[in-house]
Amino acid sequence: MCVLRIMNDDLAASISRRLVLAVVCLLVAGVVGVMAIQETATARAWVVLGCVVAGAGLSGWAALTLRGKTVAPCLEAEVAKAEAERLESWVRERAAQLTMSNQALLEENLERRWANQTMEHQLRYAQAIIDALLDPVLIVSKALNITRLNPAALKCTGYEASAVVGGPVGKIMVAEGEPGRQWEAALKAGERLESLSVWLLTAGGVHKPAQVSVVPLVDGKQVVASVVILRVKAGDAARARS
Amino acid sequence: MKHILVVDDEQEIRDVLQMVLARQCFRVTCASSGSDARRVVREDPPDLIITDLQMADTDGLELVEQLKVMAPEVPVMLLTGIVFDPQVLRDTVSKKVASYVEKASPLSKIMSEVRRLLGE
Repeated sequence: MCVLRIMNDDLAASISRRLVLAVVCLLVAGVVGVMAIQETATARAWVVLGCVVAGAGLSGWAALTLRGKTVAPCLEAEVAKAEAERLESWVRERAAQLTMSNQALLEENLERRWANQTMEHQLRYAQAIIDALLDPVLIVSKALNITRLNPAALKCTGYEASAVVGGPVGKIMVAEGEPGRQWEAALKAGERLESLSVWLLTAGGVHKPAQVSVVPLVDGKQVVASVVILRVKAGDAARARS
Repeated sequence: MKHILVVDDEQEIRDVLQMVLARQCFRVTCASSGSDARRVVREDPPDLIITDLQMADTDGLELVEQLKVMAPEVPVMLLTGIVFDPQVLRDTVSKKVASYVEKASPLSKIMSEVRRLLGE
C-alpha cells in the first residue's frame, strides 16, 4: 500500500509538471506567432527569445521524461528495498520470538516429563513396599471406606480387590461393643489405635478373630486416611467361627 | 565440552537427563547399571557422575565407593526418588558424595547443582 501510494504521488507530480510546461510552450508559441506576423526588429527579437524559451521548455520536457524513466524507477526500487528490509527485520524478530517460546515450551515439557517420571517412580516404589509386607494392610478413608489394600489382605480375606475397594470397611472387619465404638471413632478422627480385637469377615463367610492397629495417614499436616494393619494368628484362625 | 555420566536403571530418567544436559552443551554418556558405569569411567572418564541411589544390580552408595577408588577426583551427584528420612540420608551420604539431590526436585535445581559441581 505504501509503495503504491508513493508511486501514485510521484506520477501525479510528474503529470502536473508536464502540463505546466506544455501550457508555457503553447503561450510562447502563440506570442511568437503574433510577433512573426508583424515582422519588426522587436518582433524578431521576440521570435529569438520565444525560440529560446520554447527550447528550454522542450529541454525541460525531455529532462522530465528522462527522469521519469530513470529517477522514478530508482526511487521505487529504493522504496521496495526499504520495505523488503523492514519485512526481513520483522521476520527475523518474529522468528527469534518463536524460537524463544519454542525453547520455553520444550523446557516446560521436559520439566513436566521429569516430574511425572519421578512421581511414578515414587508411587511404584511405595506400592512395592506395601505389597511386600506379609501383614495385611488396608487404607481406610475417614468415611470408613477401603481405598487400597495389599495382596496379603486380599489373600487373608479371600476377596478380589474390585469387590472391596471403594466399599465399607465393615464388609471385611467388625468389632462389637466398646471396641467397635473405639475402632469406628479412631478411623473417623484419624487417631492411633493399637491391638484392638476385631472379627475379620472372609469372602467365604468365615469370621476370623484378629488384632488391628490403626495409624493415621498424614499428608502434609492433615490426616487424610488411616492405615489399618491386621494380625491374624494361625491359632486364632483355627478358632474361626462360621 | 564437559563430559557427564548419568547412571540410572530407568530409561525415561536417563532420557530426560540426557536431553536436558545436552541442551546445556554437555557431552552425556548414560549407563543403566553399576557395571556399565564402571566400564564408562574406565574407558572415558567423565567430569561429573550423576547416579541413582537405588538400582537393580547395586545401590548408589556402593557404586560411589567403587568409583571413588577408580576416579577419586570426579565429583558425584546422588539422585534419589524415595526418602523416608531426608535428614538421615543427607547426613549419611553428604560425607560420601559431592552433592545429594532428591529426584522430586525440579530440573532447574538439578542443572544449577550440575553447574556448581563443574565450577561453571
